[in-house]
Amino acid sequence: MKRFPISQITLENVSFAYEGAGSVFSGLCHTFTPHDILFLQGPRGSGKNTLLRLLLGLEVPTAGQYLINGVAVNQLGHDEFTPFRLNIGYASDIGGLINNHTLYENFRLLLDYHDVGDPAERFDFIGGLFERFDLGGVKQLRPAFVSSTARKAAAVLRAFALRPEVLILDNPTQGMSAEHIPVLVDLIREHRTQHGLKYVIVSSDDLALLDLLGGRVARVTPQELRISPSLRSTGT
Amino acid sequence: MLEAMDALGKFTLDYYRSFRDLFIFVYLSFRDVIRRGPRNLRPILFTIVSQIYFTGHQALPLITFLALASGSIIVLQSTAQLSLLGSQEMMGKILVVTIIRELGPLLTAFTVIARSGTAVATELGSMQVNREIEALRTLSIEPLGFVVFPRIFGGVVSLVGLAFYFNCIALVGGFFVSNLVSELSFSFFIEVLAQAIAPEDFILNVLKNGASGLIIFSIAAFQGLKVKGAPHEVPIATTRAVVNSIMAVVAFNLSVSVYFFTKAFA
Repeated sequence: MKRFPISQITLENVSFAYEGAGSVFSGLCHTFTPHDILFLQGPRGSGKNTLLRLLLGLEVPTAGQYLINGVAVNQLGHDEFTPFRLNIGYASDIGGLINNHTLYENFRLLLDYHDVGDPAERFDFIGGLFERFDLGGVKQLRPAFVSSTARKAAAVLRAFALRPEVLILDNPTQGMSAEHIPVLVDLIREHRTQHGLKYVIVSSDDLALLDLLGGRVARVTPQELRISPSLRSTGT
Repeated sequence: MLEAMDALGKFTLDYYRSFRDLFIFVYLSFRDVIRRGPRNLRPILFTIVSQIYFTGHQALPLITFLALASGSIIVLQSTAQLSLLGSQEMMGKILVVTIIRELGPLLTAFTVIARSGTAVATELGSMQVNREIEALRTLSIEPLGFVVFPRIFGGVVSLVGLAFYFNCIALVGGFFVSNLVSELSFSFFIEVLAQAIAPEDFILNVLKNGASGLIIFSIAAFQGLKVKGAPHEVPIATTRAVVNSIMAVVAFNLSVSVYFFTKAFA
């Protein structure tokens, strides 16, 4: 399966409202800057989760456009969006692992289904990810039979399986073991420097993660993302 | 009067919309697999085999029991009644009509609804609650082709196989059980049966059971995926899947029977 490089992500006058509920965004405009780490923050109901869902193509703007490389995503069909989507790694805040597959099969499914790259090299890469998070001993178990911290780590790790250019993490440290957090930070840095990761968008109020990883805080409002002018920390 | 007309109109429209949505749902699940071609088969093969194992293989003890019991009752009753009339040669026809054409497909379908239709609706509903379906979408894996198609396909294969097994056990097993209480020669039994069975019965049986499988698993998957995200919706979806499947399977079998009955008389 072909993957298209992602060079520009833009929200152009995006409005969105859930059916039967009030508007979440009205005329939201933002162009995401490459090589930036963005921490989405805001009170409950401010639209952080909805913004992530819009970026993933799980929701379609009620007005305005979500553009990748200048192409309006809401006008793309499933097949047309797939080459872009395969370059977007995502981990949700809860759940997300396929329960009738082992942790390893959850990763393997992605590679088998999309037939991306050299299988042997990909499987070595996945094996390395498991070892790095000390999950080698449980990778052949189904999610229900491992600890919640191992499940969380596996769910977050899966976002890296295809070495994406865009990484979207929803509360990645919520429920994650304390010793996994620095490993995750190293993994993100490594992917930025060695594997072409361009955009990192994290929805999290975890200031410790922000300090470790570095990045800018973006306050989510219905019209804009208010980006803090300076980097929070010295993360690369 | 007007309220009754309104209610009837609403019922008809709801029924039409549900049928249309279900048809599109099944079409898209098959379309996704055909569109992706052979490269899609490997990831879904495991689910197809599992579905056949759970729906077909694991149902064999229950189907054996049901087939033996219903086959025995029908063979016993028909032997008793027909010997009173002195027309035992009619038994073959009665067995073919009652077991192969009517009872076999219906009892097998009810068993599959109870065991596997409920399981599929619950499993898919739980997948929605656990956000597994959403995760598949974020991985660009189309749930209709990856989750729904293998369950429908595996279910159809299982139901056709189970119905064939039911017929064999009901007829042969029924004879042996009834032979314990009445004297009926096996050669006579086989002879009247062979005379009564036509090649169309096999074709009709496969089509009828295949269609029932399609109905049961489409409805179960459809209802399961209608769960929005709250755990309490799962049992509601399962109950709806069972009720709708029973009604649809009975209506379908009745329609086929009426069609062939009227055709035979014409």
